[in-house]
Amino acid sequence: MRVVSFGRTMLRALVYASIVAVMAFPIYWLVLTSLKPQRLTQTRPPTYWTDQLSLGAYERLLADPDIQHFFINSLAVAILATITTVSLGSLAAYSISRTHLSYRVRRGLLVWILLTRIFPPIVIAIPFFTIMRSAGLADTVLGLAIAHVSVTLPFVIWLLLGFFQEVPNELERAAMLDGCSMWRRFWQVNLPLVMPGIAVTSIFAFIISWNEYLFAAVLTSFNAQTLPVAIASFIGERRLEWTTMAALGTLMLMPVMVVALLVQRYIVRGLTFGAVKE
Amino acid sequence: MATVELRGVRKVFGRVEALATVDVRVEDRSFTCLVGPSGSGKSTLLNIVAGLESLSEGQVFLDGTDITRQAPAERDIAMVFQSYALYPHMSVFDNMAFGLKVRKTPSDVVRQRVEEAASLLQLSDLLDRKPRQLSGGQRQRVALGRAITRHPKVFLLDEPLSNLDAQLRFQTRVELKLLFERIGGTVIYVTHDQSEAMTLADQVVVLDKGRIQQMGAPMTIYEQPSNVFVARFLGSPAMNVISGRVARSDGDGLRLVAGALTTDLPGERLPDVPAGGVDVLVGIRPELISVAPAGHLTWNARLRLVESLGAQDLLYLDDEGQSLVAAGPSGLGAALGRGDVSFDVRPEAIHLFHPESGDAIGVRHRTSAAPWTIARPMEPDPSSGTTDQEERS
Ligand SMILES: Nc1ncnc2c1ncn2[C@@H]1O[C@H](COP(=O)(O)OP(=O)(O)OP(=O)(O)O)[C@@H](O)[C@H]1O
Ligand SMILES: [Mg+2]
Repeated sequence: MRVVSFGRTMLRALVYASIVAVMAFPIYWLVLTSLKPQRLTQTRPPTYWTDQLSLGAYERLLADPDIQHFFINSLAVAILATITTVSLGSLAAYSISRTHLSYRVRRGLLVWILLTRIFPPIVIAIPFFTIMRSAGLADTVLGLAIAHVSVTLPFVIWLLLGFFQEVPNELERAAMLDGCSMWRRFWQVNLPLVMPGIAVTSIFAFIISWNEYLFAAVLTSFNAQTLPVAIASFIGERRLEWTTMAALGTLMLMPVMVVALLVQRYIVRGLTFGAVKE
Repeated sequence: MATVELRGVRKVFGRVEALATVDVRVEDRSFTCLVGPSGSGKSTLLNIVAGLESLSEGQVFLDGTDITRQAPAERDIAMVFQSYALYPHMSVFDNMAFGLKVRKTPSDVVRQRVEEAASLLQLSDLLDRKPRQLSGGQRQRVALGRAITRHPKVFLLDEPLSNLDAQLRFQTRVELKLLFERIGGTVIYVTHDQSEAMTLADQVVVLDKGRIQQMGAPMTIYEQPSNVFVARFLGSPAMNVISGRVARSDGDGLRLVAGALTTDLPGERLPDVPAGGVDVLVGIRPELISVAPAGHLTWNARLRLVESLGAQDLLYLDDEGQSLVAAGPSGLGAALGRGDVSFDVRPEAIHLFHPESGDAIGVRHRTSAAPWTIARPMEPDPSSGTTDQEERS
């Protein structure tokens, strides 16, 4: 045991407090702006606090059928993309982690998977647009979800690979001798043990898809349009509706927060997975 | 019924030859131990029997059927891993039941088999626990239980006791032997501990560098090692190996000289000795060397060091520059004191090996009585003299 002096404790508290402040302030600012009257959003000096708060912007947004439509689109795309990514990603990571490949083939495969991510997204967006249009998937939830999977899948495979590799090979062998098919080994032996990894990667994929702007802007017009594109559309020619944008931004934050809180337990375990040998 | 047979099995990993053309036969309901130093190919051999490792050449037979191409799941074989490999997310019950459930066994049979194995292994109170809530010894028993519930044809155990402390290992070793005698299984057991092999096995297979050095009953291998490696690997303390020379003496007889040790051997021990004599390696088990104060026995040596092991004293002798270890009853070292002593070895206790290949040469007959029954010049305490050497005779 190390004796930590009072001064050190204070210093540490101060450092943590400032980190939290830096990260929390934009969120505070966003929420405050969404509640302010429009005229107080652009004052100089800025209005750090006011008691003229109102939920007017929220009422207007939530009553707006278009916003409801975009919100449902966002949710549908993100959920579809997440489920697809994690299903494909875990199968891919499992098979890569358990297949006997030579070092070179294995590395080649992994680099190739990541290679799709080195292009600037806009470069891929254009061919995606023509592909989706010819496949009849332009401006559909499915089309956008597929595009999002192409973004999230490589990351998820890489992340999950680490988790699958942590599962001892002898468990796999024990399961083989217990008579398990490969499918059952994946499902009943490996998957329960990589649940923390599945949780971390799910939220990761969900957030990427939920926040994604570029593909959504290029591949959708109205039917499958998502919230980030909707927010941007408030940057109108005439004026910027700061309060509405902030309120919509706050609404966008909510599902992510809820998902994060739900799987928090797993995330903490997931982020430290492998750091401590059992 | 379950016999296992490996014919001409060879396994190469890249440029490493893990197994070089191995032939082994394991009889039904027998206990076979694979021993050898680290990297000798023991686990590789076991994995090949289990089907977890493909083989480069050769065939594996189970009950006379060629199973070389069968997947592990199709072979009716259970394995206990060195790390136990229990499923961490399943309870003890589910760990033991998993293999049966996968094979679609009716649930009442599953319950009955698991409970049977649990009571055999004293795990009945632990069935609801998760592996992480168990001690090392308990985990080891669960791993065994998982193998037993399936009633497999063959049990494979890869160093199952190596994670246990010395005392628990000793105790579990005895329990294992009794357990497998009771359930009558065919067992292949990997260990690098020669004493485990000696005590457990009906048949010992000694491996080194992927080659079988010798195979047979433990006492046969102990008494008639086929080369220096086997001779030194089995038995603790290890057999002494010193260099010497054999020449013809008058008539048919032979004369062996190894430092002060000079003895006549019957001519049939080593036929074809040239007139000038041959260099040999001389092997003598420490417990077959008798030691007494100077002048009492045939040859002289210096006593350099005494190690007392409690039941035994190890005496480090200097035989004209070559060192010999003798094992005697406890108290012998203190009674002798450092300095000049004398020692004796009976000709039947002497092993001869080829100086280059290390292979056993000549004809040797079974070692009989322990030295203390022939020469007891100063036995300190008759009761402490009854060590296992006497039982062996
Ligand atoms: N998957 C593998 N790839 C390459 N070489 C291997 C592999 N498995 C084993 N070997 C090599 O084969 C040889 C035999 O290994 P094996 O694991 O059978 O030894 P062992 O007798 O079980 O040793 P230990 O007592 O340390 O467990 C070793 O030289 C080892 O390095
Ligand atoms: Mg091994």
